[in-house]
Amino acid sequence: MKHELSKKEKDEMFEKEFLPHIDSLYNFATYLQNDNEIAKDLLQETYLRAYKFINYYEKGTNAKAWLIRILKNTFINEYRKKSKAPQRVDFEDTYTQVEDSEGEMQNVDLREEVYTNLVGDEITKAVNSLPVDYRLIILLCDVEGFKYDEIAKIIDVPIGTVRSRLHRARNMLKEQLKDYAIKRGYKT
Amino acid sequence: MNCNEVAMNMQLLVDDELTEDKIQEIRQHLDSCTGCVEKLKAEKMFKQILHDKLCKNCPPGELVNDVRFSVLHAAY
Repeated sequence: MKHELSKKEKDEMFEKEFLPHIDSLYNFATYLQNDNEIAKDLLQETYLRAYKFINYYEKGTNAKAWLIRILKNTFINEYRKKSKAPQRVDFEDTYTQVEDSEGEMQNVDLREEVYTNLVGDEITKAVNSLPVDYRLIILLCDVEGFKYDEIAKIIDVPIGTVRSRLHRARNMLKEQLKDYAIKRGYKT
Repeated sequence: MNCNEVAMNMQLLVDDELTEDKIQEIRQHLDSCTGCVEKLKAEKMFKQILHDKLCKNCPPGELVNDVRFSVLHAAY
């Protein structure tokens, strides 16, 4: 539904409902675009678009989800192609097919000590090593705390896919952390 | 519920996506299964650590003002 807001109303909504999420959005952007300067550009662009389409935002609803969706789309449309980071081949379609057909998925189980003995930025490294779609879902669920149905709307997939993709992403992370732990001589 | 079923529902439990009924069933199993209790602890810890370690990137101080300025003074 489209509203027609006056400039004053738009500015106020922008200030009160959109800007307060800037820290979360910036943090989120740094995991999509590892270069801080480009992350900042991505963020600015996101907010510009949010303002441009502000008439489509329902006042008082989930502003953060709305903004993150714009950020995600802006990233995919504009930055992903230009990204200087080594391109990971996402095999998106392959993964989706496999996800949907996999009935029961095994858990990767790690000992607690692996988590408590993590060093410095291993988690960040592990997350940044994930293909973008898996990284996104970890960020949405474990960092931003969105529920599955909210995530489904943000990334435009069925809830079942959210669940299975999350499962796979976490397994991938754990495998990565397991590797780091093994290299440092820990039992996993 | 047996250990396999608990394992399959572990993620939903940790993400708070289960109905109360399912949660109860799992609790009953956990009452007598230390293996699953340990796994659940590890899963919760994993999720918590992800949250704690990934929430750290603070924007440069002037970012809010830069954004506010560029958006609210743009020709929209």
